[in-house]
Amino acid sequence: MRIEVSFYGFVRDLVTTPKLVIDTSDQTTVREVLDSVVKRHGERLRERLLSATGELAANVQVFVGEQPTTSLDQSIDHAHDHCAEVKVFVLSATAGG
Amino acid sequence: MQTENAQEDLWIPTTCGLCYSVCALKVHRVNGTVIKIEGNPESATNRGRLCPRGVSGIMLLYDPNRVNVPLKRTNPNKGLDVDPGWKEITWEEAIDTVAERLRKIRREDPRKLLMTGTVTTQDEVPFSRFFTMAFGTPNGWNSGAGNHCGTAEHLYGALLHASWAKQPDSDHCRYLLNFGSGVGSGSYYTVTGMAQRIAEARLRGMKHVAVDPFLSPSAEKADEWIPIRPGTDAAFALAMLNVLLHELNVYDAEYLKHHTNGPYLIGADGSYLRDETEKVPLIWDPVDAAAKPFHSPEIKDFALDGVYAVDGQRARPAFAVLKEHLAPFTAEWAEPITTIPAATIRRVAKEFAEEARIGSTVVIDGKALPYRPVAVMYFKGAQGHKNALLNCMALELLTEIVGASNVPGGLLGMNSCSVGEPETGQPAWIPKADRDGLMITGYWPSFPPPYPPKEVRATETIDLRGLIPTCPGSSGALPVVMADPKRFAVPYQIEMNLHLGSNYLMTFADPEAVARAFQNVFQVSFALFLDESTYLSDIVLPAASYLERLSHTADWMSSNAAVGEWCYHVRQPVVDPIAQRRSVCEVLLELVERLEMREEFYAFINLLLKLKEPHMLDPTRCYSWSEIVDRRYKSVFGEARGLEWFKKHGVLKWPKQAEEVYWKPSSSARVPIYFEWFKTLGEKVKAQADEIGIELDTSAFQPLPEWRPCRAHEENSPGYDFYAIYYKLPMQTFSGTYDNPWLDEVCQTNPFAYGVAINASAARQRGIEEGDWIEITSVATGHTVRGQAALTEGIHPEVIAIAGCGGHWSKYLPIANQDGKGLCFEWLIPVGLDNVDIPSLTQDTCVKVKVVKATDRGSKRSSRSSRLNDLNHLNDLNPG
Repeated sequence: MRIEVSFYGFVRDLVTTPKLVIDTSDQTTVREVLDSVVKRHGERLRERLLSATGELAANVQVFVGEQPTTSLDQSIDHAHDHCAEVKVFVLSATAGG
Repeated sequence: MQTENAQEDLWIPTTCGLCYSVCALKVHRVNGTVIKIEGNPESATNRGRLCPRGVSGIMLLYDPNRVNVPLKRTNPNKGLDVDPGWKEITWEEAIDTVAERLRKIRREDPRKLLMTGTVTTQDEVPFSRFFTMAFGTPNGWNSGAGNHCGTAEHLYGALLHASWAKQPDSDHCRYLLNFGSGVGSGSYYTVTGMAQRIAEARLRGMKHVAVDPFLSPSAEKADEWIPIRPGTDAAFALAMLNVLLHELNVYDAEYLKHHTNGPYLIGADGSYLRDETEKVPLIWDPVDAAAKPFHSPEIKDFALDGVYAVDGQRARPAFAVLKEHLAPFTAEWAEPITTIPAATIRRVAKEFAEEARIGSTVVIDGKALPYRPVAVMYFKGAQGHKNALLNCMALELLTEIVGASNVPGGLLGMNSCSVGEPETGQPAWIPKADRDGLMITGYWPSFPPPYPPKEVRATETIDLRGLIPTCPGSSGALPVVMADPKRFAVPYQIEMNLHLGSNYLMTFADPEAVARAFQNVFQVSFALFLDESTYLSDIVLPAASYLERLSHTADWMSSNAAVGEWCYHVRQPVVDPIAQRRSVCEVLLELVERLEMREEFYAFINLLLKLKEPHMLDPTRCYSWSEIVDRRYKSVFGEARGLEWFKKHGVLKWPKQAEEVYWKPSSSARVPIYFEWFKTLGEKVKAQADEIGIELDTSAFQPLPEWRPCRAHEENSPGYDFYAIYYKLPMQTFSGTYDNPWLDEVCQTNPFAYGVAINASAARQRGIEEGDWIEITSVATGHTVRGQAALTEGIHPEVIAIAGCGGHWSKYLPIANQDGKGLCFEWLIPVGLDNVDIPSLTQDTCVKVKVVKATDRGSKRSSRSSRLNDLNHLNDLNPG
């Protein structure tokens, strides 16, 4: 399966190319996709995206297609024509006052 | 102006932008000229009322000192009093210059971009945040509020009320205990509407007790004023809690059992006892004499007291731990700290306990709800101290112990719960519970909400909020980190500041120290005026004011009163931007195109504005600002109520339901009275700080409140025998409105607005009489400011009070920069982490000062260098 991963937000210092394409098996998970991306861009990306316990950081939102995911173990298996799109938003904390 | 010959005679609905209250306006325009501004009676927010600022907006619109053309700096030297040598340039040149800088930074490291904003640009700030997020920087600072930000108060707003701000239930409250907030007087949220509501509440019998060092604009409208030493509010609150629990035995057991973590069992290490299977907190069921998970359907009752053995561990309910903790904090203990007689503390505690009417109910909308008509309010006055986290915790517990949180009569979040507009069901949010049963906000205007606890990381942001994630507002650490990022292991320097109208040099602390942090930054200011902070700018762009611009979001979470009706407004231009002024949002959209970041930017807009099909932005085409605003309205309120509908009607409102206002009784989310996770978080912060190599006092990360002295309380230098505090004026907003001639006129009618409030007896002991010029020297910065004494019995004898953010020095503000137009309090406050409450990064805003009669008027401030010779005991003036 061909997965297009797009990065948005506070990650551009780590991911110089905001879009990349990964070829995986037809049954894969969000976690496996992110692992693959981290392999390309380095462990600092993992630290930016995930908590110490390996879950999504509070300021990270991941969409598979148009659907938000809360679990990294969500499978990406409903792709059309063996293609899927994963969007990773890294939001910046904002201050009030 | 007579309008009988007018070809055009319109009343245009829009909203005020001169503070964060979003009052609705009707603007009278005749032949293209605004001739009057009135409050819009259709709006539930201000109910037709306006404060002096709202009325004076016409003078802002047509002020001859407004910035009308783009400017660039010609003087390469920067400093507080260094003339930038402004040269007029075209918008094309300005945009080219800005885009080139942004492009370079984005290519190298986008984190080098900072954005600073303020409450008077708060409709533009969120959109600008979308820009900076898409750009790739985490750095933003709402610096216009600066040390005036509620900071720690907002943290407890999230943890206990699921809301940014709180208000007393003005419909039912009978006893308002107000620790220094401006509620009902002309500052604080929904300002004009709330002033009316509080006045009505007093007419129907609500007692307002103001605990405040100064008989402030709010306190002077109270039934009773209790002068307190600054920064000791927690001691007063702790003593009240002691009286409630140890003398009167008054607490709302049912509320504590079912809506707080009061029954959760606490082990010897201060942490929850958790069950083996689900790892959730345990409670003790006294009927079955057994520990059970807090959410077990088998629970017959919750123990709030006692000691229990659970799997060999000794444990007590959190409420019992709290009660024991409070035992030493008697009224007699608090008296010498607060200077308030123990008998007064006891009397107030007794009145509060009686008015709480624990056990009583009231029927609203056919539902019987707990009736607890008491509320404890506080804001910057009580929390703007080095002991902010623990001060606020003590104050909040008063409300929680008597069960007066988000029930009729009590303290209400603004607005914690929304089921949405009846036709669309939007916008909707509701507090929910996490695995520990504790409340997570349904909505939070910043991101992310303070709870659940976030990761503690080496700080990647310039404000230390990665390391200390409990800071919800304006970080007091930003100028410290910016001045020396390497010290904090921040791997970059800020190179550029997108500066949205925030006059940060006059709203934070020692302007010299703040200027040092910013003087090597390329600053692009969207400015109404050439204020002090634009002296550090490289490019100044003429910004459209709130009367000249369209906004996607006039309203926000706390712009509606807690009770009454939901009310959503429009902010639309009532005239085209004058001269070359432009809307910030429109300029940003142009920059997005220049930087070729449309796809990322639109993705953030779609995500964060929650745009829905068919109104989501398609990155293959370019949208105008008005199209985006239209899509936002339609996504929330339906196809028929887009921008044109709002431009015509101005206001969309509908009644609030009882379960939205008084949501707590039906919520399964509990709130903490024992802040168990603070302790663990503090340990993580400490470990991370040690790893970075910075010294941080994290001891205030603790689960229960106490009173700790601030620096000022421990300062005993001879002659420095006054506490200096500031307070907010109802007719000025931070440092952005002082050049308005109408507001100037109002201020001149009030001797305290531009003067220095000082206790009459204390003043005369020093030979100071009404109207005398006095010099005020800070023990912490060495700076001296001058002002005229305004003698009063309405101030604590140890205190002087300075209003707002006067004392301007920009030569481009010809009204505000005159002598005698107020004082800049910030010269007295040092920049440094030792002046900050570490868990909330709140700036301490009280300081010890020397006050002497001036021998001549001199200038409005003087350098600290001459003062430092006799302040050789100070070794902590430098940042850090």
